[in-house]
Amino acid sequence: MILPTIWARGMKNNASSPFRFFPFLIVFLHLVLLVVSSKRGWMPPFEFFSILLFVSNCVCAVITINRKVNVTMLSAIMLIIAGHAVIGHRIAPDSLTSGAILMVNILIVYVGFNIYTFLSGAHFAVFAASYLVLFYIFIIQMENAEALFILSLMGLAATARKFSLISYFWALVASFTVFQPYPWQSLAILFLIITVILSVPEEDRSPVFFIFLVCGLALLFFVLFPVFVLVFNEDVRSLINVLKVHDVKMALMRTMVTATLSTIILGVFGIPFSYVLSRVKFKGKTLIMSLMDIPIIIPQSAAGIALLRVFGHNQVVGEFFLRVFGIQFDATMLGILLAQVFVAMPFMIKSAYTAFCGVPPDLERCACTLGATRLSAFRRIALPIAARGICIGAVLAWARAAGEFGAVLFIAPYPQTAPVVVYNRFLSLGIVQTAPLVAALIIFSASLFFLLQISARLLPDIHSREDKA
Amino acid sequence: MSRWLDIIENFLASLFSNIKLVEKGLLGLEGSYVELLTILALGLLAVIPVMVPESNRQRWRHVNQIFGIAIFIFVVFTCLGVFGMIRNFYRGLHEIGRENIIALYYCSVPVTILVTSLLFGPAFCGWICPTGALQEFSGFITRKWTVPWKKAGYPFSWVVLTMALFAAAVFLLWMYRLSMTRLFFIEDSSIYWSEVLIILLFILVFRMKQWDARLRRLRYLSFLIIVFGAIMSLRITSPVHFGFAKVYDPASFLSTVMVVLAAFTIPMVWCRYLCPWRCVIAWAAKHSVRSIHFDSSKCITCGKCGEVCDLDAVKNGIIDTNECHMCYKCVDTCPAKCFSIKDNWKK
Repeated sequence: MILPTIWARGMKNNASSPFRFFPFLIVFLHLVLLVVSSKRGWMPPFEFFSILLFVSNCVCAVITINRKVNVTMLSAIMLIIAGHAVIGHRIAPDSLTSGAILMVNILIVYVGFNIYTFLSGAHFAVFAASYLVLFYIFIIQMENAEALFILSLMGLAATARKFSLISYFWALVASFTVFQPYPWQSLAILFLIITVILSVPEEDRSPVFFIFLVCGLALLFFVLFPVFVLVFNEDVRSLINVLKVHDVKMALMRTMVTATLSTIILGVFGIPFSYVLSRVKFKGKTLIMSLMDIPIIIPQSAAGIALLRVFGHNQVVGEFFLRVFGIQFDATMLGILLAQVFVAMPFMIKSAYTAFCGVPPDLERCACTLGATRLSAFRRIALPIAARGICIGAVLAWARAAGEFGAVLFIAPYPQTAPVVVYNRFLSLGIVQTAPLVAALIIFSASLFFLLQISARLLPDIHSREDKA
Repeated sequence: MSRWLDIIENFLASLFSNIKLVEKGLLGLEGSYVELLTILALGLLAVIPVMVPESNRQRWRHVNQIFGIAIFIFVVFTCLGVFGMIRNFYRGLHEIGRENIIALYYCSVPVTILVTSLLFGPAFCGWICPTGALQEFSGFITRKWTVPWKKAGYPFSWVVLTMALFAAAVFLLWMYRLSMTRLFFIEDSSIYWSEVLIILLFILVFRMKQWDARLRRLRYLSFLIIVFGAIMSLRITSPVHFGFAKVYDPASFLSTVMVVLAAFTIPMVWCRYLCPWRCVIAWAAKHSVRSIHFDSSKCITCGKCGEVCDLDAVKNGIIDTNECHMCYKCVDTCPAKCFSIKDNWKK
């Protein structure tokens, strides 16, 4: 590939070029090869394909006399034809495949001649190296892959001229050869990474940023890969079938209902509280703020046992509720609700607090001077402005509540929520039977989460509007 | 009535049984030869647009299209058509590393088309695609009515409505006939596409001007459905089977006929509004090396380029790459020679 390029640099003018008769030299070389190899038995000399190659070389040479064609490119093509005559049949299983590879090689030469004029040296080196690596992968490494070699060379020819295209091409090839057991997963992740790296604007392209970015993306890869493996490896039908199982369906419904209810409870109690936290100064505020983190700090199982210790039906508080109101917490929906509220609380309150802190207090004071009460200032000024932050917090709290496993398992192992169903299924049926359920759960919760996130982002964002103005 | 339908059906069946004899001869090519030949043939057909003389380019194009139909019928009869190509591409990618020959078998046509589109522009659509060729040839017959209709800015016209009604009548009659002997499954979903086509015809007869651009987005929906079907491993039969599949498939044959009949009314109606593969080709066309350049300084604003374009892709010389089929009709008809074909490798 590089040799004809060097010639091309020296051979701009076709008419007066000293290399004008080079094609005839190649034809002569081809003839010598034919004669010698027929004596030595390197290649079958008088086979149809071999004769065809020789004739086409002669035709190419004749073309160079009459017309003003690019002699350099044509001689490169002729060299390739002669080369195929000698070694083509050793690499390819039959002459038709060899012919197809020859055609694609000619395409590669055509592309190479067209792009070398403006491509940087490094990019052209990538192009040339790609050819060799593809040859290594498909011809040497894999068996019976000559046909795929043809396809991949065509892909290379089409994508070589652009760095972005060739990176996507390599992502495709690598994920279907090197990462073969998990092609779609690695394809998705590689496409993501390439898109991110290529879209970095010119002025930010420093090696430091690049290394930092790659470090972060490697971490992301580590997180995404298991998830993607689980999701993409499942047949869509098995996903649908598992969703039709009664237990699973009920568990999903129950999870959605309880998570929504606990988010509403958190909203009713938490939003006013975080408003007060953000507006009023009082003693022990820092302490309260840090106590808020307790559900995050302590292990979930510990939280579950702590709840059970208090609200279990034979404990003091639990017995009181059972005796006076007839309410039992353990092994009921109320217990699930309790555990979910417990673990999701910090998410709701922290984000509501941050959202309220972003609302300038002057606005409310101004409203008060204009005759609004404290309550209507909260309701009509602070709440709408902070709505977006609160909603995103609510979505996070919802996701946390829906995904809660440890605390729920201890206080209410039955009725089952979705994570508990996964656990029980894993214990009784094993990992293979659980995988479709988990994939369905991931898809379900991820899509719901994204939907909620998007709808939360539809709310007006006061800060971005100020920036635009 | 029923007797006549029987006669027509028998006639059609006999027509295709003859063609299958030719098919058998080509089945002698075993292994992956068929696919290799396909790659070579498609590659060659994609290079031809550059090599043919400019003076008779449109005639050469029609010859090329006929070759395209021949190749798609005889050589790639197993994986032809727009639905099949997407599904087979997906399946073929799955087989890489396991069954390489099968991977080639499924991937050869889509990869060749994508690669040639990335290099030589979407010439596949205008020069090779058998569906496009069928529509174009059938569009010739009614050109007398459709061209003035287009020139007038798509007003309501009784002639066009009659053509649409004719297509709908054929569809309903045929469906009535098929449904007497046959149950329909998801495999026959190409019928849904032809139903949509008929509904589209009626919308377009009345509201072509207003809804044209919006309805073209249906292609993306069509593409998404097919991709989802491929992932679900649903066997959706292509509407462009021409009825020459290994098994005579009346449903997909009906849809082929519907595509042809609908193209009587609105030229290239399938490509405009429903072709799922066009989404992919449009992406490739955006990045393609070859494109048609317009020199506005030469333009005499005669508007002929817009008139000849079957796809309404040209407006005052500006070509919409999303729609263009690279048929070079505008290039050949332009009296002021405003258009030129350029290879821009830096793009």
